[in-house]
Amino acid sequence: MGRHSHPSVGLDFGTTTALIARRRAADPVEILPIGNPRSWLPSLVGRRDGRLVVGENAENLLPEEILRSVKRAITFDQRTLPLGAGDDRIEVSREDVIAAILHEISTRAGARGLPLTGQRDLRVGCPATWRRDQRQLLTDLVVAQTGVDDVNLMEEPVAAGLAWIAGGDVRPEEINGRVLVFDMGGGTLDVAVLDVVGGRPPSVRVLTSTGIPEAGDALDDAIAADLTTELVACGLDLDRLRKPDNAHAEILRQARAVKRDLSVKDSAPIAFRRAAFGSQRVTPIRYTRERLEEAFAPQLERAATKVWDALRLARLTHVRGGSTSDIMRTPTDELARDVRYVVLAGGMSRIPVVRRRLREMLPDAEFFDGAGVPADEAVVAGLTDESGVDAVNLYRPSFDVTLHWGDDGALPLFEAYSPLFEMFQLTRMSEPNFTRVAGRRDGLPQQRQGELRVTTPAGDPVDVIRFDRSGGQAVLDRVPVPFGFHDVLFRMYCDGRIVLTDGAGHSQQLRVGPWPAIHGRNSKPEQVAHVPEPRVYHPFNRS
Amino acid sequence: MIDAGLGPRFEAALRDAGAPLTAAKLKRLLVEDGAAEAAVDRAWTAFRKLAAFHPHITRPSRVTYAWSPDPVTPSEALARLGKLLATTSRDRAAARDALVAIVHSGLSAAAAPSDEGRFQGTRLRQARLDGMLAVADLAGEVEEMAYNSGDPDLIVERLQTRVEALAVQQHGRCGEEVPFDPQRHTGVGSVPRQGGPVTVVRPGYTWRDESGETVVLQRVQVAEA
Ligand SMILES: Nc1ncnc2c1ncn2[C@@H]1O[C@H](COP(=O)(O)OP(=O)(O)OP(=O)(O)O)[C@@H](O)[C@H]1O
Ligand SMILES: [Mg+2]
Repeated sequence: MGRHSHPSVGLDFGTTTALIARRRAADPVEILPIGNPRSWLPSLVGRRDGRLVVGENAENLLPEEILRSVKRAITFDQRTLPLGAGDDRIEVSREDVIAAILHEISTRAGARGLPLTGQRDLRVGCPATWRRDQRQLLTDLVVAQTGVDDVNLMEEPVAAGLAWIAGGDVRPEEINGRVLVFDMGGGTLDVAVLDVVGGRPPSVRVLTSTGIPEAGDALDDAIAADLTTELVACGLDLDRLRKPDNAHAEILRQARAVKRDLSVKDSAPIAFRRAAFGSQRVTPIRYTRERLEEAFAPQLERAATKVWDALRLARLTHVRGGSTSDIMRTPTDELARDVRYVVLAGGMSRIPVVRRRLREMLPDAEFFDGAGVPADEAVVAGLTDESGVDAVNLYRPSFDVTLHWGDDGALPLFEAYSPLFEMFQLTRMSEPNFTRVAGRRDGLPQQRQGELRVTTPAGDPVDVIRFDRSGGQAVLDRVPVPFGFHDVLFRMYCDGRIVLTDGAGHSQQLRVGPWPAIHGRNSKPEQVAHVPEPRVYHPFNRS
Repeated sequence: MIDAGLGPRFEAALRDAGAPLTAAKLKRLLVEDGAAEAAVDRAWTAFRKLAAFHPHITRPSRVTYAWSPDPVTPSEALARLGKLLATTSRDRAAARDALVAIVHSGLSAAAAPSDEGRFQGTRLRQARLDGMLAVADLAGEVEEMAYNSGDPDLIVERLQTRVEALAVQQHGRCGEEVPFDPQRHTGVGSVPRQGGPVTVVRPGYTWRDESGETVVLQRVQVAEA
């Protein structure tokens, strides 16, 4: 990448904080402060005098006039969000709310010397588990608010992993093995397992990227509930509160603060604001790290389970011998040995028990904090990565596979970014794969023929290689698929193989062109022999 | 921009030449191109006067004219504009407007810092702001705790926590008795001997920056016990 090429600009639209950064060629990443007075913009929207206000301008509104964590509206497919209380309550569209934040980011960035309009290389983070349409929604909003038409989305934990690789904690030539990225932010825990082979640039394959929509916000709520119990035990009468919302907001505010305090101290005093509780006197209480850990324990266990799931999925994506059921039965201490490096990202990874738990789980791994930048800047730093690494996601292929027929018949067989398989399906598969059966009930004709096309989410065709029985290959951009009385059966494996059985019952073996070569079991296309009946049906992303 | 008759053809010929030309050579080019000699001579008289104000024409020597792809600098544009306004000739509005535009762009560029300047300025300011924010946070914390609890122990404890969260490490506590360590302590009043008993009168502070380097902000102040 030449000295004069365009800088890359990263936008991390987080659940609680939004950041912007820029990187020019091999220079260190530069965070552009977009907050006021902090360097990040709180991802908040509120209503003042009937208009939406953003960030710090929303911070001091009444609690019911503030929308927090609006990114979750995409994660949870909520089209509208409630704002206000009583007669004043309205529903605002999530697009309007997110557009307001993005507009503010764009305006501030421009005023501070980094106009987003006209950027050639704008990259935006998204949670790993977002579907294609969720990614598209954010992309469209960013395009509309910045005027940049070529916006690239990158999964947040993958970005954090790239930030670590480029960060220089270990020389890129010497990194070899699996990297577990644990990014616990405000709204989501994102986990990714990367397979890195050292070099300049190193080769990086994403073996799995997964997560749960439960992170900092959830812990804040748990602590607030705990504090409320404690206050009641100390004599607070909830029924006598004149403004229960104010009291709850104060408790939540203290919960957020004490969570941070307990990342550095074993115990911390909380002196509640008197004004929030009306005439009732509230005495200061002491909250301990032990108690926080107790409140956090169930959530942390779910996070730990997610990590083990991720490590199993990673083994399955890149099968190195052993059957699915073997991998499902692999004890955790053996799975733990797969991980050579752990990269901690996200504000929540500063909590001591998070680290402690991960260290107990992965005793042989080397731990790294936040990729050479503060943990909450790891994602935005990675978004601007210029080291030339092309991290291919084997677990969530980034293309669509569609069956077309007639003038306008079309049936999606695989939607970009869907996981190839989920844990719960594995007990029924001998070799993990994505299976889709399509037939008359999906509107497929029973005669003539259609064609299978593979395209990028932007609609560009992707080449498909077809292997014939005599060992020859042909590169096609449309694969003819005869229809008939049988269902069409589409199967895709994590090494890029596709087995397609057409309506006449004939099978053909295909491979998606740009899939990286994987060495190991099942990596070579074999003669099409017996294709067993499908036992798993398309379970993904049904809305 | 100079729109009378052959004027644009002089401009074009000079631009295409790619090198300085004398007046004679320039006129010959137009004649060779099919213009009548007498008309060229007449047009040249008018063009020569305009050339002095043209934003793209320079005079590398007394006898030559040259075309510069970049317009003249804002200050040169201002000088030409002054001369242009001092003449009474008509038909020079186009040249005037072109020069005014250059002067304007020069003025606004000088007044508004470049994007890069603002970018770096914002970053520098943020670095200072972060320090100020920490101070404001601590000050507000003390006020609020004093009002809501009034317990000095609580206030001190809260301050210590917030200080630690800023990667600032406190060393020693007031009233604590320790052996004197000249590496870390500063004596208040008489200087104690190494290892001698001293009392901490004010804690010391160190800060670990992002690269992990430790900076001493304040040494521990001690007095002989
Ligand atoms: N020192 C700390 N100790 C404990 N928690 C912290 C600390 N610093 C930040 N947090 C918490 O981290 C969370 C914010 O982290 P981060 O900025 O990485 O999230 P985000 O990027 O906005 O969200 P997401 O990635 O989920 O969309 C908040 O819940 C915040 O309270
Ligand atoms: Mg984040």
